[in-house]
Amino acid sequence: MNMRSFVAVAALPLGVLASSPASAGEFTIFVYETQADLDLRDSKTPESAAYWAAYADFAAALQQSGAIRGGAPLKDPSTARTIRAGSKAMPGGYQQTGLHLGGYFQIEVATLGAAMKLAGQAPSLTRGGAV
Amino acid sequence: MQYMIMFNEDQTHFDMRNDPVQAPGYWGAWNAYIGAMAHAGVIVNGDGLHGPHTAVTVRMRDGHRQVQDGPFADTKEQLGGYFVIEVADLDAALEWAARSPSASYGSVEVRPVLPPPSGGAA
Repeated sequence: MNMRSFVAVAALPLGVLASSPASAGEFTIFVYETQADLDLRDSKTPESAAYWAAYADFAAALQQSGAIRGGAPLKDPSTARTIRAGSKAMPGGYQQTGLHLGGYFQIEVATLGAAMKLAGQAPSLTRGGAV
Repeated sequence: MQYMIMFNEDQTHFDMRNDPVQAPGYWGAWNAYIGAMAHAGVIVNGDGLHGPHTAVTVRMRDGHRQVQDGPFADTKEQLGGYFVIEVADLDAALEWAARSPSASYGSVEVRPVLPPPSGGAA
């Protein structure tokens, strides 16, 4: 299994597109996972249970911190469709990289450092992914 | 069904956000689009994101945390925002995706949200 975990904390203020005032303390944590990890989700193996337990622990930690505002896990990138100007919807995600967006968390904390601290606990970081 | 629609924009369009001449048209198009989704009652949640230069990416290498300025993928288009919407099926989600401003100048990815798993998750 490829354990190169990679968590990309690309983050940023909410409400920009909706033109509501952006709060300086709101960030989005994007969780990037390996295909091997995404394949574990439905594998009904002990590794699958460990995978879900790790994310349940991470979500619980975010809940306990009081910072969480929302989030969702996403289905496998094979289920994605991409639309661009002048073409029909094509199967697959936009980015052809070794890691895939597996889900995201919206959090509200005082500083980028606090966001980084929470993001640093994401399971994907120790599983070959990123935040 | 819930779908996440992700809007990818190039730097030219990120720059429009704060351009005195181009910002009104840029934001006007997005606000019209978001207003239509809100009027239809399909929005679960979503956000615009600051430009990719504000992103920070974290990786673990040999047990050590590596923090790097910039987004995860170094590509011409970057994630500019996203919405999770509740609609009947994929076709309805694709309809909304195609109506977004970035469908005309960038790209839009649509992906189903994972239903609550038995093991629990995000």
